[in-house]
Order: sequence, then C-alpha cells, then structure tokens
Amino acid sequence: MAVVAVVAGCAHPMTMKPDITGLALPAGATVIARNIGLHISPANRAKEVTTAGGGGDKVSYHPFADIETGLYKVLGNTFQNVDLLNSLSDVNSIAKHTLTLVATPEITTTTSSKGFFTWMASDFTVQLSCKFTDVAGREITTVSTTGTGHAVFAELKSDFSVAGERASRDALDKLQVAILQSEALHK
Amino acid sequence: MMNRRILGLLCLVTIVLSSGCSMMAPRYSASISNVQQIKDVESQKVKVGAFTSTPGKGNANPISLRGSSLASPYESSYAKYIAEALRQDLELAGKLAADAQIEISGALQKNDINIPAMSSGSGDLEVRFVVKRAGETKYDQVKTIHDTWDSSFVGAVAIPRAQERYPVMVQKLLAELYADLAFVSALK
Repeated sequence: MAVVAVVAGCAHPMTMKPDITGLALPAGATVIARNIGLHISPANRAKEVTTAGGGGDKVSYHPFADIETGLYKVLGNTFQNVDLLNSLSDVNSIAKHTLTLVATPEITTTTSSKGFFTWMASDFTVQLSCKFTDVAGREITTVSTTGTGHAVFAELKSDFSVAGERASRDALDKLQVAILQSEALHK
Repeated sequence: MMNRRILGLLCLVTIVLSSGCSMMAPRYSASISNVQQIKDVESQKVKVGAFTSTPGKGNANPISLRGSSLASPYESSYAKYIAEALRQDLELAGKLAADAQIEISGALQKNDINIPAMSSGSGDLEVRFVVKRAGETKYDQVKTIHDTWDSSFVGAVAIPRAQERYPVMVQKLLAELYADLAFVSALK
C-alpha cells in the first residue's frame, strides 16, 4: 500500500532517444553546401520535463539531450558539415569550422497512455522545430515537424521508452525531408 | 470498496513491474560532445574490430536489477554494445571506414550496475582497448569508470533509472578513451 502511494506520486524516468540506424540521406538528394553549427543551450540540454503516463502517474525525460544525437545526424546528412556550437557567441568555433549557419532546436512533447494499470506512456508526440540563422543571428527560416509514436504493453514491458523513441525518430525523419525541401536553406 | 480493489491491482502491477522482468538496455546514443572531440582530432580513418567479453566477477550479462534482468540490445552481448557505441561515435565524427588501416578492438572486463534499496545507484565498466595499425599494436590500455546516480527504494523508479543510465556509463567510458592523448596519438 505504501509502495503504491509513493509510486503514484513519482515521475517515472524514461527517454525519447531515437534509434538512428538507417537515418541517412535519401538517394538522389543534394547536400546543402554549407557548414552548420548545432546549438543547444546548457539550460535546454539539462531540461527535464514531466508529462502524463498511465494510471494517473507521470513520466519524466530530457527532450533536448535525448534528441541531440539524432539532430546532429540529420544536420550531418543534409549539410556539408555539422559541428557542435556550445555558445552562439563562440566566434572561435564559428571561424575554426567555417560555419555560415546555426541551427537552434525547440521541442515540445505530449504523452498519454491507454494503460490504466501501468505507468509507461503508450502514445508520444514530439513537436520539433529548428530555427536556422546566419552566424550574426539573422533568421533564415524555421522548419517544424511533428512526430508521433505508439507502443503496446508487450513492447513497453521490456522497453519503457519505446513510444518516445518512435516519436523522436518520426520527427527526425520528417525534419530531414523538410530541410531538404526548404528553398531558403538552399539559397 | 472500489478504491481498495484499484489499489490492490495497482499494488500487484507495481510488484510485477518491479521484479522478475526481462528488460533491454536502451540502444546506445552517442554523446555529441564525445563525437565532436574525436571529430576535431586530425586522425586517419578507423575501423572497429572484435570486442570480446572476459568472464569474471563483476562482468555481468545480463545485469541484475533487483531481480529483473537487463540484457544488451546488441545480440545480448555487452561487448558488442561497446563496439556499437564506438562505431556510432566514429561514424558520426566521419572517422569510420571499413577498409581503414587502423583498427580498434577490445575486451569487456567489468560490467555491472547496483541499485541497493537504501542508497544511490552505481555502475562500473572496465574495457581493454587495443589499437592496431596494419597489425602492429599502437595502443593497449584499460579504461575504467565508476558512475553513481540518485536512486530510489521504489523499484518502479530505481529500475528504469538504472536502465536508462547504461548508455550514459558507456558515454563516460568512451570520454575517458578519447581524452587519452596516447589513444589520440595512435589514431594519427
């Protein structure tokens, strides 16, 4: 009884790290001939969010930290080169890597569960937008996508995070397509 | 009466989810700061060779988490998990090539996680890394990490927290490797 009371008041940790296996540039696609920096602020990288799980419980995860590798992969696929930019004012990195663009992501998530007796999120939505600026901070375009992921109990019992992982991968696949289709980024 | 039934069921589910389950460790996800570190090294292309597991105390497979078992998602082998992690880092850094002259191989020597009921969680990894160029050994060292994190006496919190910690432990181990100037030198 005590255990249930404590568990009911807890946020259960999970991740939304996508499997990036096979996340490659589609055949025939043209790489954007520019070097880009990926910037995620330390505050965003450390950000933990808590949303609804199943049975009245909650789940917690780190959206920016979890999706960072996938974003790096997408930008590496679609641009000539990608480098991590720790600070927007890091002129040394900008010069060293001859960056001409900076990508800054924003992520919002929603979760829900069809399970009454289990805490894991069975449905996960990731709204992923990426603001592209030049190195002086002038906006070039913002590309936004929405990824969704669903999992059933048989999957969730061995991988608590599978719905979030699928939603992240879906958002990244769509982001890659949107970047490749962006006229503003090809100019 | 209804509330008692619900609480009873919740209690049952909690117990089921807290013990006796077979779980999978999360697939490796690279640390981009690690990737950037290896990317910034002016090195030749590298390939990843065989990683084996040395049987011994503290080299668990699967890892036991309060009665649940945590298996590797890579053919149930934690040695293959290390190889996959290295391969993913090198690929993201643009340093991976199947026909490279330089090969990194190794042996997993320690691999375990502990989540006692009344204290923080901890994990240990120890891997011997060997770098060979055209068959000649250029680097042969053991890297070790001991990681700790906040845990909980509640299994439904402590177990998933330990589960999601495994890739972080591997990231920390590889950060130790990439920070070793002798390793970096062996890749040049």
